Amino acid sequence: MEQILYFDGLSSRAWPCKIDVRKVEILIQLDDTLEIICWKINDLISNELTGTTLTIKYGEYPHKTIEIIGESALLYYELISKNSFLGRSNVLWYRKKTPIIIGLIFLFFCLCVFSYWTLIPWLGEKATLLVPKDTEIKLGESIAENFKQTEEINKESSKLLNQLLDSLQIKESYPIKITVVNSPTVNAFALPGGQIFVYTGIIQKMKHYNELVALLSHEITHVTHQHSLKSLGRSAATSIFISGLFGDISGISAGILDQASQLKQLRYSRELETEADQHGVDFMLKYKVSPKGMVDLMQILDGESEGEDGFMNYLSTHPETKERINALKSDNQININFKENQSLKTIFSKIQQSINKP
Amino acid sequence: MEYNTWKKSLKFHGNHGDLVGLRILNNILKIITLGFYYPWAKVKELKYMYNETEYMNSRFVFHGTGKEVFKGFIKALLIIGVLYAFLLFSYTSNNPTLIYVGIIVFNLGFFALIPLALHGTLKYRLSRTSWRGIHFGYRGNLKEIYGIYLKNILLTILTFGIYSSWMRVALNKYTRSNIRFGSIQFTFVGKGVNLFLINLKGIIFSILTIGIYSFWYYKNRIMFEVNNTKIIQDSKEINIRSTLTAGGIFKLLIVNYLIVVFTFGIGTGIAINRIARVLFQNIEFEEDIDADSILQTEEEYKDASGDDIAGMLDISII
Repeated sequence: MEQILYFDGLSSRAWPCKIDVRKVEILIQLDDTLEIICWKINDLISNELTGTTLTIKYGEYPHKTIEIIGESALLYYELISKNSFLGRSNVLWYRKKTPIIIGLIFLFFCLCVFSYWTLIPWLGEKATLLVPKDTEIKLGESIAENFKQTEEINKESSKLLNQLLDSLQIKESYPIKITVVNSPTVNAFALPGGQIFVYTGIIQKMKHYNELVALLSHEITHVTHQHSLKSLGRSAATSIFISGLFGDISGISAGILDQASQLKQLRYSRELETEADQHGVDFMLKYKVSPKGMVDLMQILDGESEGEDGFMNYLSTHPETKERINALKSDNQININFKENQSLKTIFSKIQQSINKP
Repeated sequence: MEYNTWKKSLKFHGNHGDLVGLRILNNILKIITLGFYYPWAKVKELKYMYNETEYMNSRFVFHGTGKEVFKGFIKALLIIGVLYAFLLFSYTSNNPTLIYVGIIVFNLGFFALIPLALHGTLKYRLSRTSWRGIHFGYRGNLKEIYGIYLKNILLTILTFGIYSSWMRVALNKYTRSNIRFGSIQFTFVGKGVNLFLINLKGIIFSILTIGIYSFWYYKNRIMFEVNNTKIIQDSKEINIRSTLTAGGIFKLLIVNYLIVVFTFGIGTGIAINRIARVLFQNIEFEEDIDADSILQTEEEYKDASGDDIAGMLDISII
């Protein structure tokens, strides 16, 4: 249905009309009264095309309006755009242009993949680095406080471990604080801002203080390189991106993509582990502790993951310990030896004793 | 035999390809501009949706601009940003009292923003909507809506949520009676007790039927909103009703769900078009308004902050 209607802005009466678009004016002739109205093109408020509807607004509020519905809407739109200073406003400009639509879908797809895998996580990571150091430290402290309330803390060995760290006289940009948790779990982790938790399970498996220093140097790298904050930023940015893109009614697609995002996060966490291993070795060299301890530590972890299904190893939270061992061994620095540090040795045996106390 | 003389005067013409294309384009621009294209994207989508909605052979027009929505977006971002900043600040303080204060202030802040969002959205969205050159408008007063909201939210809390049905009705009554479409007015005649019974029945039966009854519940909620709204033209009341069925809602939602899931969100535009079509084409008018005699009465209003706060709080009003 083709129709051109004039509205005077005062009442809702629709006046069917004919229009003649000229260089500087639009002439409107009302069908009912044959009255002719003249609009100066420079005084147009808008010339907007949406699909097959063209709305032309004129003058002060309440505006006078012309509505053109039908195929001729596009013709009038082009004609007026050519003569007026108004910017182009065609909401559905891609209409009936199949190659453009296919191109857009392809571009959209590429952009999504690129943003999802690279751009958004990178931005998320950069954004977290804007967090002031004080805030990061406080955040770590409050998470640590919550965690401590649910776990059994070994106060004596915590004190000894911090003493061991003091005797190395390390100078790091974060206040490192170690807490030992009574648990057979063979693991340790670092929170943002310097809080490190070590389980008694892993200390029990250690034979030499080198291994303990290796563990600490690995975790300290996580802290100084802000690994947990970066991971947090990456996953938060990814989920904001997904929910922004798909809106609310697609919880399921978002759910599927969330699984993909966890796999992606896992790959990233492996990169971080490898980074922590390498910098951990540098740390040990700096404080004159034989870096061989790092390899021995990996072997403890490897022993733990043995027995697990090979297939499941792919998704394990200890990413390919064997690969990490090989990477460490290929580094020549790993064979550098330092003479035994008696004070570290003493503290280490005290820690072992305190843990093995009934 | 009784003939149905009610009129189906609302039509939705949305075309799936157009909206899918529009949304893809908007998303591309949102990604490239890191989200800052959002206001312009929103305006384009609204212009499209309004333009495809027809009442008595004339289309609706949305007059808002990206610039207006952008200004509102920045204000809304600041207000909500301050709330989040305060929460983060209290959380990192390590002081348990301050953490509790932070959580309480944060949640109260959100609750306090609801009337502002409601008021702002109605005021902006309606003022920027027209049909046949006549603008809609909202004459509600922010102080009054806060008064109604605070009294009702207090009663809702004291009755453990039971009073929420009466609260909804009170807000509906106030907002509907303040909507103007030129010289046309609206009124809401629903009763809190009826909404309460719909909700009670809805919740109990939905649980007992493992969710199957929820489609009837949706239907009843929509009917309550639509059938209790009346149009007043020259002191004559015109009734509206919804003919939506539970089966219709079931089909609409299930098919939409499958479309969105299997197209990984790309088909969301199709789902939105389907919702609009089913919703509008199931609204019937007892008789048509006198379309030629509506007079322009409302003033212009350009502040979109309330609309953007509503967008961020994730409450949809229109």
